[in-house]
Amino acid sequence: MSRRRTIVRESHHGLGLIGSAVILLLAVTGFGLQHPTWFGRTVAGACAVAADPRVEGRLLRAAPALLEVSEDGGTGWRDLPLSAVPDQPVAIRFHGPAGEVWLLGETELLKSTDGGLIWDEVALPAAVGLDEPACDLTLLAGRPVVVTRRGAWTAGEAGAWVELWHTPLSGSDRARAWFHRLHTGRWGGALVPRFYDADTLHQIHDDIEGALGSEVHAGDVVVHFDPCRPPYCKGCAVEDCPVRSTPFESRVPLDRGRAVRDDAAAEPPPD
Amino acid sequence: MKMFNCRNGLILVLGALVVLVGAPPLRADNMTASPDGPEAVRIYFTEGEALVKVFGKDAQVAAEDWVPDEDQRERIESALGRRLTETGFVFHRGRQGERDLGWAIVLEEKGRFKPITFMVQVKQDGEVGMVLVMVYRESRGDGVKRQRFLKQFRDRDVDDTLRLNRNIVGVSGATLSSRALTAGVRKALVLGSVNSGGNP
Repeated sequence: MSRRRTIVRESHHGLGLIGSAVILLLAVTGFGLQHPTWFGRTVAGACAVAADPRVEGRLLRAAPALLEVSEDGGTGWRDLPLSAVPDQPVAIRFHGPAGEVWLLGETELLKSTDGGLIWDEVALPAAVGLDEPACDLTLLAGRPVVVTRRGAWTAGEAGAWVELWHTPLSGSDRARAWFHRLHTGRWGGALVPRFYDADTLHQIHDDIEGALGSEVHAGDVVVHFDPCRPPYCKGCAVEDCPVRSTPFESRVPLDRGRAVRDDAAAEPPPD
Repeated sequence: MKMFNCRNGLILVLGALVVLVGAPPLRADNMTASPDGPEAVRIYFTEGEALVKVFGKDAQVAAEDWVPDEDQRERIESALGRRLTETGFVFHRGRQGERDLGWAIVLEEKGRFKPITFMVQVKQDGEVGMVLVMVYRESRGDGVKRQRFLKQFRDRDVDDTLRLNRNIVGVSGATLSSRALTAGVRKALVLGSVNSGGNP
């Protein structure tokens, strides 16, 4: 009994020491990671290279957060001014004689029309992102085709992406994504694009309202995008709202009867 | 006394599940709704607070609107290697009596998903004085708000080609935010240079 107690006590001490060492290691390295200059820069190699078909010996290469050009077939390299280079470059593709070039990152797509000197960001298909990073890029009749491990999209008319193929998530993939979101905080919520262009927003608003209106009686549905407007204040309970003009009264019940009644009240009386 | 029986075990497991499943909604309580879904909006400084922080509370600050002309836009875009999405900028020029305290500008750069709002103060000699993250909107990566990262930009000028992993060391786990801030400070320096008639 006494021997067993000794073993337990010593094991306890040993585990305690190991546990303390692990915690200390985590604390020190965690503290170190918060002081980036202690460890110096990360050396990252190029992971995408392409030859400019217009100029012999001209190459572009991209590494994480770095874009360089060579004019002598790859012997010497110099930085291009772009500092917002994709974090994980995947592919560079030149197209045509006019200097059009595309740069794909796992979650970003850039386009240049002057051989890579000035770049524009191009929105990727909504499905491409951290859960489904892009892994290849090709050009089909001058239009980019973005490929992920599960699908591909090409730019259609008016810049909208057209799905070429897309394999739905399997049950295990969904479970993995669920656990991933649980641990990363990227949980739930409807992801709606952020608009910087009010005209586009209004157009989409009208399209959505029109599409819904074709399914239900006109006036039964009102689509409301932020920012709020004063008429919504009495039905909105958000506290500390910067645009509130009248106090909250009560929630507007989301039922068909109310919508129809309001709509009917606004209609002219029948002949 | 048998403490860990089947019933207690079940209660523990259920409790753990409740905590795990309940955690995201609880987190969501702390989030502010935004046009692109729930986001963790953290406001560290309003514009007024940031201006007091960079110029001091006794400084006189005058806002100056600037809309670059076509030639200026071209020079800015060439120096940055990307198109400008903004049409105009506001320079906040600080003075304390006769002393010129330089200028500050509020800019936004996209992190992983959402824009980071920050202020860059440039001293009279054209070198960066202070950088402040004003609003951070992502759920991860706000380590870039710390001065231990931001102080790397101090005393840099428009001739410094700011590059993440080359002369700026990023914050682990916040690579895209680090990149955004690096690109943003470079942009501020280029804007300042072109605004004052330079050719960066």
